[in-house]
Amino acid sequence: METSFYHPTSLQDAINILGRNDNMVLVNGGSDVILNIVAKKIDPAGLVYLRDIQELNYIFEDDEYVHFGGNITFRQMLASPICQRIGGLRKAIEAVGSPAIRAVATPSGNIATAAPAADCATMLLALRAEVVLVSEDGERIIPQNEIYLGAYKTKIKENEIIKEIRFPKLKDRMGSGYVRISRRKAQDIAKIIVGATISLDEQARCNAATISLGALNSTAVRASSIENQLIGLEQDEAILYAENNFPIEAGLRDSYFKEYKKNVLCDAVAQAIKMAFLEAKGDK
Amino acid sequence: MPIVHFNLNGKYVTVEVDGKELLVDTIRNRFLLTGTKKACGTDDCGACTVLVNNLAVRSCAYLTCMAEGTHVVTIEGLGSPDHLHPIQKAFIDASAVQCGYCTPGMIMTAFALLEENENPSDEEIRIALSGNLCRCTGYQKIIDAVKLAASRRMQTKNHTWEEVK
Ligand SMILES: Cc1cc2nc3c(=O)[nH]c(=O)nc-3n(C[C@H](O)[C@H](O)[C@H](O)COP(=O)(O)OP(=O)(O)OC[C@H]3O[C@@H](n4cnc5c(N)ncnc54)[C@H](O)[C@@H]3O)c2cc1C
Ligand code: FES
Ligand code: FES
Repeated sequence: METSFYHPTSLQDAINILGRNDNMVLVNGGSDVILNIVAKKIDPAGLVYLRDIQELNYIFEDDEYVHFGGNITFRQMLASPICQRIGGLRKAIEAVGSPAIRAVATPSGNIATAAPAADCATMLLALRAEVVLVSEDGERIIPQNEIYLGAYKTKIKENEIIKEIRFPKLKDRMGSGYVRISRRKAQDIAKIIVGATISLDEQARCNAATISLGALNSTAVRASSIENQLIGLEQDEAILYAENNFPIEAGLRDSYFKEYKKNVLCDAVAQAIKMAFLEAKGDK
Repeated sequence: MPIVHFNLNGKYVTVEVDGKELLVDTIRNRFLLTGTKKACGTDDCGACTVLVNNLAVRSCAYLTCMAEGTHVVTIEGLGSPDHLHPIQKAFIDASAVQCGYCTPGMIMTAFALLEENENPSDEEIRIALSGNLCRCTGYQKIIDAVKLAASRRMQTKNHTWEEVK
């Protein structure tokens, strides 16, 4: 099928194109979707390129949230002081592919593709991200942990565009951590991904925690069994707990790496927790 | 079919392509600029790296239509056999080329790095080239070549490629 190509320069134009035509596919960095086109997994009637929509290209924080627009690239995020301060997010983004991929690819594409081993999306889950979607029908906000329907499947409708991803600002005495286990340092799909945030009270004891796991189930998941048990613990106690308690949420599907993942996961969770504690204490 | 206008190696060009056409195929098959290699075709190896608005991107994972209004530079735009770019010269001098298939992508990636960072450390060079695979050299000579090119430029008065002899 011949495929047309649209260059909307405003969000409203893009919404209109999706509303008026069937079988349209959004292209952001293209690092996932172009491979699907080449492999003939999809044959769209039209491609809608989001890169020229200036109003989607922002990163800012207010009192409540860190906001970034729907076509912000990983490279732009790494250059932003806001993302630089959040060590777990910075590490997660640095792990995506290689510099040439990060130059074009986006967190919006990472969430919308919904691959099981998505680095940035797994970290965003620990950061309690929300996804702002717009379409002809208006705007709706879905917490990221409710967006996945399974591997490569989300609740994002065909006519919807991710306008923004946002997550609650990390307050004082909060820190983030991220650990990725893979065979190579670049361009390797992770075998284990762990994202974490830790919030501390005045005595440096954990009073809230989030842990996310990637590459273990069909989608990234939160490990609330571990999160809840960290409350009240100091850094060394929390690390010890994580080292000795396997997160029940980890699916560990049958694969060549199953045994390896089983043996290594607790240590990866413990390391992510340690990084988050250190960041929360201001010791980065 | 969509019509695309962009600047290719300093000249404004117009092509009519299907929305699915890849930039690497347009460059090689329509403009016969075969210096840009298509090896994996799956965004994995970096052999097809070109510059789009000074950013190193993979032309096998970049649609030609995405290049509308941009400046695209391929290895042919950097230098020619008679007028090698100093990075090309450094690759030869450092013996960083064996079969040569990865070389155009390596050089375009190195060029983009050196545009941003005129004196990168070994670690920075390795990170910049981390998406470019070479099956022959073992990489060290490629790192040496990038350092050689950078140091030759650093020795010039104004740190420009034009001044490198
Ligand atoms: C060689 C290689 C290595 C990779 N390595 C990694 C890795 O290490 N870690 C990792 O996590 N990923 C990796 N990826 C996958 C990919 O780079 C990421 O998933 C990236 O975040 C996708 O972003 P994109 O902007 O390129 O998405 P695109 O390919 O443009 O789009 C992907 C999907 O999201 C949809 N979409 C994009 N933007 C929006 C929007 N604003 N609103 C609604 N839908 C949207 C598209 O329609 C499409 O379905 C790799 C890919 C390649 C080719
Ligand atoms: S040919 Fe494009 S990355 Fe290998
Ligand atoms: S020189 Fe042969 S692949 Fe690099």
